[in-house]
Parts: sequence; structure tokens; C-alpha cells
Amino acid sequence: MFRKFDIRIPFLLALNLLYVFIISTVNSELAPYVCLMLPAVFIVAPALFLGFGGMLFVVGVTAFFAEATTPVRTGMTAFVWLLAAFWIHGWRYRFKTLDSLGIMGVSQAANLVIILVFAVFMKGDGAGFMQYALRLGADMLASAAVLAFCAKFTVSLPVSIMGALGLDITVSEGD
Amino acid sequence: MKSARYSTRHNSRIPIFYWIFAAAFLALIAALGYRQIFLYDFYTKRGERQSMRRVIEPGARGDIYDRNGKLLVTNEPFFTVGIYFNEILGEFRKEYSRLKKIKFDAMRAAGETPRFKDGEVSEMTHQARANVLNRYLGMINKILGSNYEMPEDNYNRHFRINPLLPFPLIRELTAREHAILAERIPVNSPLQLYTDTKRYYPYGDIAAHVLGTVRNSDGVDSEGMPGEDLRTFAGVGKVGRSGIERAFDYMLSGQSGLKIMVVDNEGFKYEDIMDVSPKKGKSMNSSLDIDLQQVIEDSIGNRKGAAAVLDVKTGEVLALASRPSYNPNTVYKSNAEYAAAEEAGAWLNRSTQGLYPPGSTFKIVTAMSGLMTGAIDDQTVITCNGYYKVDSRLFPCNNRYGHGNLNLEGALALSCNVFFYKTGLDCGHRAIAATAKEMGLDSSTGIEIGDSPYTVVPTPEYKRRRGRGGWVNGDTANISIGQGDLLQTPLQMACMTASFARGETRTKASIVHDPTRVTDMEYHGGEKLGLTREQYETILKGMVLSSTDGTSRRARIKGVTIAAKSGTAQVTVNGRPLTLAWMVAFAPADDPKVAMSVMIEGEEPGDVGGGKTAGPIVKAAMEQYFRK
Amino acid sequence: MALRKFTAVRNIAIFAGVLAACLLAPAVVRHYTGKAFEEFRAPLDAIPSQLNDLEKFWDLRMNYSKSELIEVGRDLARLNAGYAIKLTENEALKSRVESLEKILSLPGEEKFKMEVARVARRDINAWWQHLIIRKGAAHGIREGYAVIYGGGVVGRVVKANTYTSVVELVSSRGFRMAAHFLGEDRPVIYQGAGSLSFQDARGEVRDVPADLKASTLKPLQLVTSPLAGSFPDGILIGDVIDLTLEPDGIFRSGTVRLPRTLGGVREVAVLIPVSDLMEE
Repeated sequence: MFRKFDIRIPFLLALNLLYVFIISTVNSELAPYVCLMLPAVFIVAPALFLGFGGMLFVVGVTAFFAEATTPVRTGMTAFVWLLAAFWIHGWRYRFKTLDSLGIMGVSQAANLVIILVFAVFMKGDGAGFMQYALRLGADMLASAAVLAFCAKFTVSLPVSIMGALGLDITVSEGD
Repeated sequence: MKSARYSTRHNSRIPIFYWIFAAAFLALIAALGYRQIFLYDFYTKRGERQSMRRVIEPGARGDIYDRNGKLLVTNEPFFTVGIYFNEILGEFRKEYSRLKKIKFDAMRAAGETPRFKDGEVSEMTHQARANVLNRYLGMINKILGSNYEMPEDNYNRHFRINPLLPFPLIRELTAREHAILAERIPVNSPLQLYTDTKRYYPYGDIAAHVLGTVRNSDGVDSEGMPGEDLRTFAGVGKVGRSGIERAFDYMLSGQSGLKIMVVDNEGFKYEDIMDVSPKKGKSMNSSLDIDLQQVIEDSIGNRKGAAAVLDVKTGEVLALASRPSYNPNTVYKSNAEYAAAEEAGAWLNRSTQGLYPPGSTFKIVTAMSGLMTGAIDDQTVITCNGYYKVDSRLFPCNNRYGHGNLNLEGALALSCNVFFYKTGLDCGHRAIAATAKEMGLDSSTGIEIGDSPYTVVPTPEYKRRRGRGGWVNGDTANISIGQGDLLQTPLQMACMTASFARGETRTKASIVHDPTRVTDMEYHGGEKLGLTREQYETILKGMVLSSTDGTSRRARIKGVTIAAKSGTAQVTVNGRPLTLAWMVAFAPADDPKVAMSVMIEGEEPGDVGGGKTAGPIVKAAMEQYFRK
Repeated sequence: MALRKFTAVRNIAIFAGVLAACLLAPAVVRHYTGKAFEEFRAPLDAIPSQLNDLEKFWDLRMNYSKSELIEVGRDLARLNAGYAIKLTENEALKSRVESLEKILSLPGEEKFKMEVARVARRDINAWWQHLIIRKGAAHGIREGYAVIYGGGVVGRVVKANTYTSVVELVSSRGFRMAAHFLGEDRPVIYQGAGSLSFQDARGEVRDVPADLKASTLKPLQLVTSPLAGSFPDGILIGDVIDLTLEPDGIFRSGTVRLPRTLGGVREVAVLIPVSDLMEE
């Protein structure tokens, strides 16, 4: 797993941290009307392109980074994201062609499942169930809409950057 | 040798077993079918009863106002911090396990077999609960910087009887404590702040007897509420103990709220199914004028006494005072205050339950009786030499030198005993008793809070029943001046005065203010007085003269003509002779609006007098009434 | 084939171990891991805010002429002068109140020092409502301190990292505080109404005495109460336009309209109790 230094690991980690930065800035401006929850953005690319260990490291560190300053129990976000990443990593060969529909589909599926897991286990901030459901529904709709546009981008961007640097990045072949 | 082969020959015994098993299986199916189909309802209901509970929350009581809309009794909320046991069950179990482990480890270290002896499980369970609750109490004490201890309420009893209701850790938090806990306790903590109410009397000990108090109810009214067959837990409600609180309990009591919830196998809440909020009871407008009541009670001061003030036309009670009094806000919370009230005799509502000889105020009745029987008329003059001989006894007048020649007006004004001894003896005790009964002095006034049924208008039969022998002239002389076995309440005398003021025989007293009520003679239940116009005027003039120049002159006020009659009665209490100061009055004399009676108990013989003691109280009350 | 099998089993074992570590790590490990990431992340949260400030500065420089800026500066100076006079008046009033408290033997109210901080980030979703501000424990900020802004109450500090702090917003469901209406001293309880979609932030007020009434034409202003000691008296929380009598007839409850400007707050002040400063 760690036989040779894989440049893709720090690259994708840096990209993920940049996404954290961008999304939290956007959310800061959009608050309190809607909140974009896009965990798939941090998971899909590392799950597809990295080996098992690299994926664990990048997704795990990003999760800890993302949940810092939130009241979520430390490690919980990493737990859920790693499960999703593990699942995508197991199916990565189906997305070898990196087609838009496939990437968007897996991103939407992972995003939805992760948000629902949080919705089930976290205590809502609403005055009642209806308010909680309305707020969550609005956030999920907005997140799905944004993800529809940017899902492919999160996969094609690292390919383009690495390509520009003369390095190859494709769906990981083996662990 | 034959090889062992599985025989396929038909064995005739096997079908028998088939039939037995088939029959048994059929019986099982039938029993199951019976239970599922025919006993479905029964088991469903039983399941519901086992898994559902009902919690009843009593509603708040309604308020009581005076006739001008001033709040006399209300509910004052207080804040309590309590804990829901069902939210800390896990902590109870954890603590129990910890204590058990400590005990068993100690036993093992001592070489004993770790096991519980009789009663130890229960003891350890109680200890575990106490530890957890003390932990939460410690947390609260740390937040508040206080030193509260575990309340006396038995938490084990609460666990057993009311597990679905919060267990109060600290009651009646101060505003500061409530604010601090509201900010520092997390919103989803098992500790919860909730409100409860207590009855609050803004005027303290003023009108305490007539307003009454409440006590904890024995149960909560749950008639007609769903879930009658479910196991029910109820909060403690309040029920009227005395006075208006008791008489109008049906109206003031709030409507209970209801929660039906599903519980787990240990009886703790799982989810709510039904939630109906409690409703506050109806409010009540009393006929009292609290400002007038306060003036009267302040005038009575620290003395023992009572007063009743009525609206002449409607019979509504404007004030009903009894002193000494007690502060209903605090008397049941302080042992010292309770004992002091007990010692002072503050529990007795002297205005409706105190029985006293009315003294010379009864001379109005004697005068009426004399006029109606013809024993006297407005021209009758009697000479008073300071005493009157009845049989072999000399009955004294209040002026031992005598008043000289007096007519009825003068006799009323100066309260001459001799005039009324003669008048009483001339018209006879039966006529006096008949007039007194006509004026309602032997029956209830009809007031909703109840008054004493033991008023006495003595007759020969009454005396005989008491084993005191036959009636003598001396008895007639005594009742003529309001002494002897005559016993009346101050409210009764006020009603009599109001009736006379209206020219009728009865007044129905009411503690309810109802401006729409039609209060004619039929309402009061009496008749026109059996006096001619001139006879009535004679008595009236005498009462007016009493207030201007006579024994009631201390009741005089500027601008309003008062008709009054003072009285000073003698009683013997526990062998000690005491004096009672009375005054009855109504005003304005020509168009009566208000009638009242005042009675003050003396402490030493002769220390009080009707005019000098009760007069100033009547004056203060009249001034207050006519100021408005 | 065997190698692939071994690799698969090894990966699964590592994965299970990592998951177990995420879930079951001891509290101490989780605490310090969380803290480390918080401090590592703090500059990332602060940077957009600082860039925003820089952007505003250049915007002013590029889009406004010198004379316009000088005029604005002059107006600001006049405002500041007016505020300085008010501050002096306030100081006089404060010392008068203190001497009256002394004469009447009344307990004095808690005094506060204001620590101004810029808002780095807003984090509002269906589960929490937080602000991240650019000051932390290094500036004397501790958990539980009140946070206000020019328009009223912002919330309360729930976490103080070294250079950043997390503030729970006043509209959060978990935010509860003692309050009272302006012109009234009877205490009431305010609690945030939680996340609402596409609506202005709201709260709830309860335990309101039954004799108080509010309407759109005559709203009641809800302000902070000094009873709990974390907020000074009289800071605006919001307006109440409707109070409904509870079925028990004892109290009223209603909705609190929080100021619109709360959603766009850029600068806040953390109130540090002077007594805490003196202890340090």
C-alpha cells in the first residue's frame, strides 16, 4: 500500500480541503436560507482514483477536517464517509469510463444516503418534526441540484490538472 | 441372515399416532382460532391496557374579583426543576451495576460468595436511584451556587406511583434561579423546568375568611375522559376548603388535561398518543368592595370583632370582615404562623359563624313588636328612673340616674332599657319572638358561603328544651333589650337592618355580584313590614336621632344622614363577664343604599361600648362608601 | 489469486479497524483529535473573512472618489463624536446607579468588557446554527459568554478554540435564555425556533404573564434579562407581535421576530464578564 509515494494522495487531499473551503464559504453566504451538503464531492474522486489506503487517508482526514467546529461527535463523520467511500471503491470499475451520468448517479446516491444517515441519527434543530422535515428537504433539494452540476467536475478537474502536469490519473486498478 | 432393510410394509399402529397427532394439532388450531377470532377484542384491549397509560393534569383554578374588577384571588405561578425518571433509567441501571460490582468485589476479597441477602437488592436499587438523583441535584447546586438538599418527597414512592410525571427536585425557584437554570441546563436535558401554580391572595389577610382557602384534592376529576380503563397517574389538584373557594368550587375548578401515552415494558413513556391541554376554571365576580373591606378591617385593627355591609336593595355583601384574621398566602407554610392563628382564634369567621347576643340593637325589633301589637304608639311616654322592677328583681337602665320621660324616638336615641323592658313586657315575649322570626333572625341569610344555623330567638319551648325551667318575666325583659338567650351573627343583624331600611321583612344576602339580577321583594322572600307609615317613621326618627345626638353619634358623617342603633351586650365567657360593642346602621336615612352591622368583643368587662367602640368603625365605613 | 484474497482480507481488516477507531476511540483521544483539527482548520475559516475585508477595502478605494471617502469619514467622525458624548453620559449614569445600589444595598449587576470579533463563517443547517468568529481563548473568550451585535443578541459561545470560537445563534433550538419585555420587569423565557427554510429567523417566548398583550400595531420588544448574569439588561432580542393565552390560562406564549440584520451580521462583540477578568 505504501510501497511508493503516490502524488495523487496529497493532491486529492489538497483538492478536498479546497472544496471544504469553497463550500463553507458558499454556505456562509447562503445561510440561513439553505445549506449545501455535498459530502459526495469529497468522497467520489478519492474512492475512484486512489488505492485503498490512500482513499482511507484522504477521505478520513477530510472528514475530520470538515466536522471540526461542528457539534458532531468526533469520528462520526469519518465513519459514515468511509463507509460510503468503501462502497464506491468496491464498485469503481463500473465507472472506469468516468461518464457524466454514472458519476452523477453515484454522487447523488452517496450524497443522499449520507444525508439520510445523519438525518436519522442527529437531533433536528426544528421546533417540530414538520419544520425539521421542511428544512432538511429544502437543503437536500438544493444540494442535489448543485451536485447535478458539479459532480462530474469533481472528477474531471483532478484528471485535467494531473494531465496538465503530465501525470496520469485513472480509476485505481488494484490495492 | 436377512439384511437390514427398511421395511415398507404398512404398520397398522402408525395411523393411530397420525390420528392422535392430527387431533392434538386440530385442538391447537381451534384454540388459536378461538383466541384470535373470538377473543380478539379482549386481548387487544388487554394489550392496550398493559402498554398504555393515562396522565391527568389538573387545570388551574379561576380567579376571584371584587365588584369593581379588582383581583382578589389568583394563581401565582412558580417554577420547579424536576427530572423525568424515564430519561435516566439507563443511569439508574448503570449506577446499580456499579454498586453491585463494588459490593461483590468486596465480598470476593473477603473470601465470601458474592450474592445478595434478603432485602439487599431493594436497598441497592434505592441507593442507586438516590445517587443518580443526588448527582443531578449536585449539578444544579453547582450552577446556582446553592445548597439544596434532596426533597422530602419519597422518590421511591414517586417511582412506584407516578413514574410518568416529573419528580420535583427544587420547588419555588426564585426568578434569578429560574433564569440561570433556563440558560445553563441544556434544552434536551432530563432536567426540566416546568410551572406549577399556587393560590395567591394579593390582599393578604384582608377578607381571608370570606374568600377562603384551598387544599390538595384527594383525586382529580376524570369523568368522561377517554381511557377510563387505563392505568392512570394524576397530578395533585386543588379543591376549595372554605369560603368562596369552597362554595364556588364547581365553577372555579379548572378542567383537567389528559395525556395518553404508550409505555415500554417497565412502564416508562415511549410515545404520546393523545395530548389535551388543561383549561383554567371560570372566574368569579364577588360582591365585595375590597377598598371598603380594607377600611373596615383596618378600623377593627387588632381587636376581635366582625362587620357586615350590604347593599340595601340587592342584598349583595359589600364587606364581610372578621378579625383576627390570617394570611392565606403563608399560614399553611409556617408552623409558627399557624400556631399563632390557632391561639388567636383566627380560624372563626365571626361575621357568619360568631353567635352573640345583639344587645340594644335588638330594640328595633322590640319597638316594631310594641307598635304592631299596640303596646306602644308614637305618643307613648314612659318614665325612666334608672331601673325597672320585674317581679322581684330590679333591671337596670344604662343610665343609672334615669332618662326621665321618654317617648319611642327618645328611647331609641338614648337606648333607654327601661322603655324597652316595659314595652317588651307589655307586648309579650311571643310577639317579640314572632317579630324576630318574621325578620329572619332564626333562619339562614341565604349567603352562598353558608352561615350559622344556630341563631337563637328564645321561646319558652327553647328554654324548657335546654332544661332551664319555665319562662319568666325576667326572660322577656332580657330579650327586649337583646340579652338573655338571644344569639345572632353580625351578618344576620346586617340583613335585619337592610330589611328594615327597605321596609320589608327579609333580605337575602349574596356574595355574588350580578348587576342583571332582579332583586324585588319576591327575590328576598319577605313581606312588607307590618307597620304603618307613621310607625315606621317614628322608629326611623329615633335611629336618626341616635346618630345625630344619641348613643350612635360617633358614627355621624358629614353630608349624609345615617340611621343607627348602638348596643352594648354582656356575656359570660368561661366564667368571665365580657362586653360586646354593637352598632347597626343604614344610610342615607331617607333613601337607604347601604346597611351594616359592626360587633367588637371586649377583653375586660366594660372596656367597650357600642357607641364609643363600634361607632368610629361605622363612621369610617360610611365615609369610604360615600366617598365613591 | 491467493495474494488478491489476502489483500482483500487485509483491506477489510484495516477498514474495520479504522471504522472501529472512529466510533469507539476513548473520549480523550477523540477530544484531542478534534481539537487538533479545529486549530488546523481555524485559519481556513478566518481566511475568507479576511479576504472579504480586503475586498471591501479595495472596493472602497477603487469605486469611491477621495472626496466621497473624506465626506463619509467626516460623517463617521461626527457620529463618533456624538457617541463619545453618549458614552460620557452613560458613565455618569452608571456611577449614579452604582451609588444608588450602594445606598439601597442592592446587588450590583454584572459588568462586561466587550471583545469585538469579525464573523468568519456562518454554519446553519437542519441540525445546528453556528457562527465562527475570529477570536478565541487567546483573547479571553470562554464557553458560555454572551455575544451581541449592533442590532441585538447574536447568541452564546459554545466552543472557544485558541483563535476562533463557535457561537450558537439566538435562533437555534438549543438556545434558551431569560428575558423580559421592555418596560416590564417580569421575567419570561426565550428559546430559538430552530432552522426554518426560506424564512426570517424566529424564536419563541413563553411564561409571559397573562395580562400582557401584543399586536402588529403595538409589538412588544423582548430584551435580555440580567438575572442569569450572562447578558446585561436591555439588549434587544426581537419583537413579539402576537401572544396567545395558553389553555391553562396562566401564561401566554408567542413568536419572536428576530432582526433581519442577524442573517448578515459581520462583526460581533463577545461580552466578557469583568469578574472573570479579575479572577484571572
